[in-house]
Amino acid sequence: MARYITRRAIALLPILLGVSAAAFLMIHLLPGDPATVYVGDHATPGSIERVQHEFGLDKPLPVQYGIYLWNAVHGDFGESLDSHRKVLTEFVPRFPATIELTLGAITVALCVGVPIGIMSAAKPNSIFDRLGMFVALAGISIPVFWLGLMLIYIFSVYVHALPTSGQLGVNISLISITRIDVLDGVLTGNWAAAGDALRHLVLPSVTVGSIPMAIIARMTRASMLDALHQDYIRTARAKGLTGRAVVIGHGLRNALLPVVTVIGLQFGGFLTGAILTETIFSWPGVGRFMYESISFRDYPVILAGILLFSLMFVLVNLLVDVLYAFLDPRIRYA
Amino acid sequence: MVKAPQGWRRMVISAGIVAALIAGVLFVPGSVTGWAAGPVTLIYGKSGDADSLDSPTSTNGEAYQVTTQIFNLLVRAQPGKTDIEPDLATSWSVSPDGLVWTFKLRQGVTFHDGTPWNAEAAKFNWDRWADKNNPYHAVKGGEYEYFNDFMADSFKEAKAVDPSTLQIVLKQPNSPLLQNLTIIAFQFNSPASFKQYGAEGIGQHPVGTGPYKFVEWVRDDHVTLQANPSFFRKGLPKTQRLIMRVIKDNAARFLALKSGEVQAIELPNTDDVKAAQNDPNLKIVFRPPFDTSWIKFNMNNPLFKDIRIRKAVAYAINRPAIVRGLYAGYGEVATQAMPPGMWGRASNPDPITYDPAQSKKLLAEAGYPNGFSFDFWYIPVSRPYFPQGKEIGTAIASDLNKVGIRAHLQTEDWATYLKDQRTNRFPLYMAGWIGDNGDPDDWLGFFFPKYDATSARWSYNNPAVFDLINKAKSENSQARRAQMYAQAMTLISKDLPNIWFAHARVPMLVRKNLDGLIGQPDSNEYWELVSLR
Repeated sequence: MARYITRRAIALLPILLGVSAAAFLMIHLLPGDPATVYVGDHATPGSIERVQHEFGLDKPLPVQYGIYLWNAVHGDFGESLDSHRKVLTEFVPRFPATIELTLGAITVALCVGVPIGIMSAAKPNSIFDRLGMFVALAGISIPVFWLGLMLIYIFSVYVHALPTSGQLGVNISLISITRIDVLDGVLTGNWAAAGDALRHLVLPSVTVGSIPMAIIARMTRASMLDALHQDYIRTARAKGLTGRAVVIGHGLRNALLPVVTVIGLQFGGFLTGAILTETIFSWPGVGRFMYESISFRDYPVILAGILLFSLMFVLVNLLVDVLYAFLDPRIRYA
Repeated sequence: MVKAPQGWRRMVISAGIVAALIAGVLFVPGSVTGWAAGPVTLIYGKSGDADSLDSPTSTNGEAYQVTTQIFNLLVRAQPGKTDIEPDLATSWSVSPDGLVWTFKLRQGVTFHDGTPWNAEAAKFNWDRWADKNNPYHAVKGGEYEYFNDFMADSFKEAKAVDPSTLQIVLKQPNSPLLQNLTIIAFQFNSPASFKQYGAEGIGQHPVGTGPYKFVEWVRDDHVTLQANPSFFRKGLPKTQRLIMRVIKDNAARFLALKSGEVQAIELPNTDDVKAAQNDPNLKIVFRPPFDTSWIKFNMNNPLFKDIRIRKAVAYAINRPAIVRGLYAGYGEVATQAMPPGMWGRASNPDPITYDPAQSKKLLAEAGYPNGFSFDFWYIPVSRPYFPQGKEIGTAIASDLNKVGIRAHLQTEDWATYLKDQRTNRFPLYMAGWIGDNGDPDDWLGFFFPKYDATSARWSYNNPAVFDLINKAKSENSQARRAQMYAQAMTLISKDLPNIWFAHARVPMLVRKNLDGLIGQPDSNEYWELVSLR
C-alpha cells in the first residue's frame, strides 16, 4: 500500500506540470490585457507599459512560464494583480472557508443522498421511491445559483431563520485556530460563535450539496438494488436476520463501493459548485476569489487556483482508491 | 420482490427526531439576533471590497467609500453635490498669479491616535505623495494615480507657514486645484501612524481625523468602524458603529436588505428597485447623475469623416425612447459631455433630435441613399451610464436599420474593449465616464486635449477646442473658465464627434427606519449623517 501511494504521489508531478502548462497557455491565449484592467479608465500607453514591465508581462511567453515554474517550485506563486499581495497569502485564509463549505456540502449530500437511495431501493416503486427520485431529479436539475437565491428568499427573508450570507455574523468575535469557524467555535468553547457559524453554513452547504446529493441518491439506489438481489442477501434473510441488518449490514456495505467512487468524482463538482455558491452567499472562500480573479484577469491567482483545484481533485481521488481497500478487503494494491 | 425490512419505521422515527433537534438548534427565533445588530449599529451592504485603506495610493471606489468615513480632506464636496465646503481647511485664498494657495487649517482637531492635526501633519502627507524619495512614498502596487494625474505637473512644494497655515506652491497655475482636492485620494493620514505601521502597513491600519475610527477589516467580508467621540463636526456621527459589509452578488445584497441584515445597499438590480418601490419596509435614495454616456464616432475612419454621415446616424437614433425604456426611469437624455449640476455647461449645445426623414435625406446627400454597413461595438459590462449595454446597443442598431444603416453588433471582454478604444479598431462604439470631481477639466480635459491619428478615442481634431480646454486649466477666474468650457462644448457639438446619450441617477435602497442618507455624486456618502430609528 505504501509503495502504491508513493507511486501515485510521484505521478502527481507530471499531472500538475501538464495542468500548469495548459492553464498558462490558455490564459495567455485569451484576448484582453491585465495591465489595461489594472490601470483602469485613466490608462495611458505609458502607464500600461510600466505595469506590463512591472509584472513581467512584456517578456516572451515561454520565458514567463519558465520564471513562473521556477518561482512556484520555491513556493512563490507571484503577486495578485488586484491586491498586490502574495498569491499564497491570498489563498491561505480563504482555503479553510472552502474546506468548511465542502465538508458541509459532503455532509448534506451523504446524509440526504444515501438514505434516499437506501429507502428507494428497499421499497422500489413505492411512494418513498418516487418521492426520493423526485428529490434527486430536482437536485440535479435546479441551477445552483437559482436554488441558492430561493433558499435565501425562503429561509432568510420570509422565515427569518437563517442568515443570508457570510461565514460568521459581523458582531461575533472568534479566535481563529483552523479558520474553519464551526470547528474554531467548538475548539475555543465559544458555543455562540459555533452555533452562528453553523447557521451560516446551512444554506450554502445545501446549495453546493444539491447536485452531488442527487447523484449519490441515484447511485446508492442502483447499487443497493443490485446488492439486494444477490444470493448472500437471500441467505441472510433465510438465516432470520432482521430487515435492517440485511439492508444496512449486508446490502449497504457492498453497495458502498461505487458510491465512494462517485463522491471522489463529484469532488470537482463540489469545487465548481462552490464558485457560484460562494458568490451568492458572500462566502469568503477560494471559489468566489477565483471567480473575481477571472473577471479581473488576475493571471497569477487564476493559475495558482487551477493548480490548487487540480491538486485537491487528484488527492481526493487517491484517497478514494485507498478507501476501496478498507471497504472491500478483496482489493489489494501492490 | 424485496421484502420490506423490519425496523424501518423505527429508523424513520429516529431520523425524524434527529432532524427536529437540528432544526431546533438552527431555527430558534432568538437566533436571529445572532447576526443582526443592535440599533446603534448601521450595516451597509457594499458591492465590493477595498484593495487598501491608504487612499492616496488607491484608485478603488470601494476603498474610498470606507476611507471617507475615517479621513478628511482640506475641502470636500457638499452633501449631495460637487460644490465645495470646508473640511480640514476652514478658508483658503490664491495669489493673483495662481501659484500660491494658502489654506487656514481647522484648529483643535486630533487624529484618532491623539496626535494633532496641523500644518506640519498636512505637509508630511503632501511630501509623501509628491516626493518619490520620501521614505513613506513607495508602496507595493500603490500608484498615487490621482496625484500624478491632477497635481504632479504643477506641484512644487508644501510649506507649513505656521501651525494653522499651509501653503501649496505651484510651478504653473492649476485652476482645478480646489476641486481636485475633493477627490478622496487627497485624504490626510496621521504622520505618527506611518512611524507605527510603516508605509505598507497603513493600508491595513488607517488613522485619520474622520467621524469613525477603524476597528477591523476582514477581507472580502466587512470593515468595522467605531464612532470618533472627538470628531470636529459636533453631534456626528449619529451611529455608534458602522459596518460596511461586502456582498458582491446584487440579488443576494438585495435579499440581505429585505431580511433586515443590512440597512442600506448600493447598486441594486433594476428589477429589485421596482420590487423595493412596492415594499413598505424599503425606500429609494438616489445618487445624483454624475456620469455621461455617448456613442463615439471614430473620425479617423474615412466613413465618419463626413459630418453628414455622422448627423445621419445621430438623427436616426431615438434616444428619448431608448432612455425611457432601458434606464428603469433613472436616465435622462444627455445633450452634452457634462451632467446637469456641473458648471461650465453650454447653454443649448445639441440641435440633434430624432428625425429619421432627415437622416435619410443626409444619407442621400452624402452618396449613401441605400445606407451602409459597419461594425458597431457595444459595451460588454453594466455601468450606470449604460446599465444594459447589449440591450441599448441592440436598440440603437435597430433604429439605424430603419434608415438603411446596417450596424453589425460586436463586443469583446471589458479589458480588450478598454484597450481597443485607444486604437482605430472601432468605427463606432459606446463609451462613458463617471466624474472624479466637480471640475469640467475632469470631463473635457481627458477626452478633448489633443488629436491622435491612431486612436478612436482622440480621433476628433479641432485645435480651437484643444486650445480653449488647455487654457482653461490655467485660468484663475471660475467665471472665465466656465465660459471657455461652454464655448468648447458648443464647438464640439457643432462637429458632432460624439452622440451624447444619457446621464443616469444611481439608486440606493435603504430600510424605512434609516434617515439622513444623501447620495453623493461620487458614491462616497457621508455615513456620519445617517441615523436609525
